[in-house]
Amino acid sequence: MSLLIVALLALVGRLVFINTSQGAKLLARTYEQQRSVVPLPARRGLIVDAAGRIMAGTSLQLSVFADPKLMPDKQEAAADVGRILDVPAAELGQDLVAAGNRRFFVVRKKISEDQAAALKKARVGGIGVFEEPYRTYPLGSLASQVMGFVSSDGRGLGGIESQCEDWLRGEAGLKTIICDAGRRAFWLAEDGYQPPRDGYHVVLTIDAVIQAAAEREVQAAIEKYHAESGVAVVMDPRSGAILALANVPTFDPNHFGDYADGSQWRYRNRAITDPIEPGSTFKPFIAAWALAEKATRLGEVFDCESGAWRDGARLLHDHHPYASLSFEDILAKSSNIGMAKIGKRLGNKKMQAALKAFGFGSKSGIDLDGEAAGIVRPPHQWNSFSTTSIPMGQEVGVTPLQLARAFCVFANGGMLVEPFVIRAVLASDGGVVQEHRPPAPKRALSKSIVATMKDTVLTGVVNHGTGTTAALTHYQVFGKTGTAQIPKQGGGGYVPDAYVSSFIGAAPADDPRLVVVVCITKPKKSIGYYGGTVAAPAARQILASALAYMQVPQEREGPTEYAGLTGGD
Amino acid sequence: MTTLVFQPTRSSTTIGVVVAALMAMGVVMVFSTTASLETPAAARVALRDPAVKQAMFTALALLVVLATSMVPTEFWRLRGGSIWQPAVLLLLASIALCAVVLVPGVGTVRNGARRWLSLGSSAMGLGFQPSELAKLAVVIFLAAYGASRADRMRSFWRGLLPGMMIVGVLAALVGKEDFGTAAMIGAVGVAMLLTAGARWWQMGLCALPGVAGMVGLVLFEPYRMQRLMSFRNIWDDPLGKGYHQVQSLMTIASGGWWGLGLGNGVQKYGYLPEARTDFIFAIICEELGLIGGAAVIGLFLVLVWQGRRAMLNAPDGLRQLIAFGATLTIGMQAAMNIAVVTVSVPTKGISLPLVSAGGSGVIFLGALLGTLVSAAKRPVAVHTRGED
Repeated sequence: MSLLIVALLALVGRLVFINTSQGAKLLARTYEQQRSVVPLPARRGLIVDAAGRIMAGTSLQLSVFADPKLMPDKQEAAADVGRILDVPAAELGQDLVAAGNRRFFVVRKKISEDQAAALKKARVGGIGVFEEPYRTYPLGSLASQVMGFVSSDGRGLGGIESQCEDWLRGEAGLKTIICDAGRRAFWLAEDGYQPPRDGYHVVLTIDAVIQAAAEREVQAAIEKYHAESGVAVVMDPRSGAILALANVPTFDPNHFGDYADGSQWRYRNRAITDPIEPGSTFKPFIAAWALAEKATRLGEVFDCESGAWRDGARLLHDHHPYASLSFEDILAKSSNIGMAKIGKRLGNKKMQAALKAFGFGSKSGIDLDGEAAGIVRPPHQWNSFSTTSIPMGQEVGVTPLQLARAFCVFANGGMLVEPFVIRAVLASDGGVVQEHRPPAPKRALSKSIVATMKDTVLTGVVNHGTGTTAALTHYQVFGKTGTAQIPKQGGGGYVPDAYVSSFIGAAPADDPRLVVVVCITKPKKSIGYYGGTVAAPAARQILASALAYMQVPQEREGPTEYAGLTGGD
Repeated sequence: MTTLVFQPTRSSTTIGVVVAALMAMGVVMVFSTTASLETPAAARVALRDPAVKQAMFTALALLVVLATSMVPTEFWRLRGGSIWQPAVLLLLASIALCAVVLVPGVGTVRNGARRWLSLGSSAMGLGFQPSELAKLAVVIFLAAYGASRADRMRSFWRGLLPGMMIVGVLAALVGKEDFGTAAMIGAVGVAMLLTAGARWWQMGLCALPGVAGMVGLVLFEPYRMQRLMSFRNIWDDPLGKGYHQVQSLMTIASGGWWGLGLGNGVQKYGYLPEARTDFIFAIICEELGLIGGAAVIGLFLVLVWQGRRAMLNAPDGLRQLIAFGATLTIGMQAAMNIAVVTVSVPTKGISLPLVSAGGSGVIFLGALLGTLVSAAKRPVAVHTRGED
């Protein structure tokens, strides 16, 4: 009997021993056995436009998964599932066999709610329905090159999606659940809930309405002139905010896989990645610098040689011959010979300074990946040809964005701004994580030179020069047309009958609110190819609808010429 | 005239209270252990529900304790050689039932052992293990036998051998299917005979065949061998042969000092086999912690201690032997069960007395303990003046 008492006391000791000496090991094993850690995916942040319109969001779709290991008969399961999903059973069966012993195999994504209900009701062994997040772009292809897209495993590819991946992605949480031996979860472990941190929202400077107008007008110009492609940039000249970056043809990020047939180039944000030889739209920058350097003055008359002028080894032509033109009319009529003479007065060194001051040859610093710096030859490669080529926009490569940025100098009183598209990054509760702080702009031109350029020279282009098709009734537009030949790849002349028709401009002249660049590549020459014919009307329409949308006070009275947002034409 | 009145003693009262406490603990723990993810606790009122059954059996067992505690110990005393005496009939009945249960078609197999006699409709799932009755019978009969032959117990032929034969027959019948209970019956029987006055050296001779028989049972039933082997190296095959023991240790360890809280255990959801029967102690440790486990052991210690007091204070041999046998039976069963659950000894099919789920177990143990309570009472002669 005493032995029994000793034995019972010893068993208490045994309990203490189990808990102390073996406790940690046993407990670890118990946790491993009972607990299952479930990741809680974070919801990817939104991308919204300047007005808060959702441009990229995350929705949930119903998908079907299979655990082939739990299937008594794969072909039978394939037949059942195939009937409900309306896919051939043979195809499903093959997939299931190929899946082998994977425990989680996605059979079909994005099934309808009815199909999901039917599947649940059918209770096919080893088949289940789960919800998974997928990226959706409610505005379709709008600004798709800026947006980029998201791969099926949720990683951002291209555009803002890839660039802001770290902000948008968020941090997945964890849920530690306690399961019974049949792996059925029944409660949450203590401290077992680590909530996900949803991704931050990215607020763009892009305004979907202006973006839509820009894409629509570029598309219309492409269609009308049977062009290959086109881009448009709309900028706020005061801040550098990009209001629209249109690249047509575009793509639909909801179906990004549809472009694998060799049209992946559509993903590219050509407005910032593809430099073009600008042609005449480049003239105002050199002309303004010549004024600033006092190489010429307003009203000075140049001999324009009746349309043909030999300068050394070089024969220059004007599209329309003029005997002589004043400084301002050289721009209004876009005389190459006049500009060549201004270039010769200025000299290579000063022109190099001009290019630098307007930001050509270096990246604008826009907060988008893949920006090209453009092509400006290093000073030692400049020769006597450069002196006459560069003033008419040859021998340089600039992106449409660089053109827009440089033109902002004329629209904001002489400052070189830094363009940007990300206005702010917001936490999921709306708190500001990061806000764009533009660096102090650098002065490129004096106010008086800018005023002369804007109010006399560039206004003249629109009022009685090559850009009259850009004129608006209610606002004074100023700008410059361009019709550039496309250089052959690798040098050696130009592609015959291939042009980039362009227009850069701004309005209203009194207090410019918008700068617009439109470049249409390879319009059909027989229909029209001058910048004033092809690009200026598109720029005009963009300005008209954007100014109306922004409710910019009208400068002049006149009949309503444009129906605004409903699409006038 | 003089009547004999049985006054409760501290021992009898304490034993009664501890028994009731252990039974109550059993009902609560069986309720917790049989929790189901499908059925909310409030809906568990069906008669089939194991916890409801356990509650009913325990209530019945309490009545049995009460009833048997009021049966005077004298009831069991042997007088003369007639078989028409309660102790003899009890013994014969249990031998008969233990034999019958072995007949295929009569006994019911559960968990691979033919230990059960089914009673009534199978819907209620009533069953009864004759081995539980045998434990009761061996204590009562040997106590009566030893008390009636106190003068002859030193004799081998007339004292020890008949007693040993009875122990042997019962142990052999039970041992065919239930090794643990047989070993316990054998040990309790031997200890009772020794207490009754048998000589050690004679017992040693006598026990040899018994020990040989046990070794034989181990060798000829391969699953016993497996159990013995797996006990030694449970970590060699924690998901196979060592699974049960490893799970039991994990269950105990996950309770820590204070436990996960009543009802919060997880191991009962399919991880720990036989959680509500033989391994309920592990669940007690998981939910109520080391403190709870130690408290249960403490209750058994109190029971054993008070049983020992009752034995030492017994006014005669019959009471002494009943107190000894009953205390030893319950204490040993508890110790063996806890030793198995804590993987201190190999696995045997032994339940935690009064606590594990099981109808016949708690009822027959109730009878044994009621008899113990009765034996622990003090007989007092009261003189009354009769009318005539």
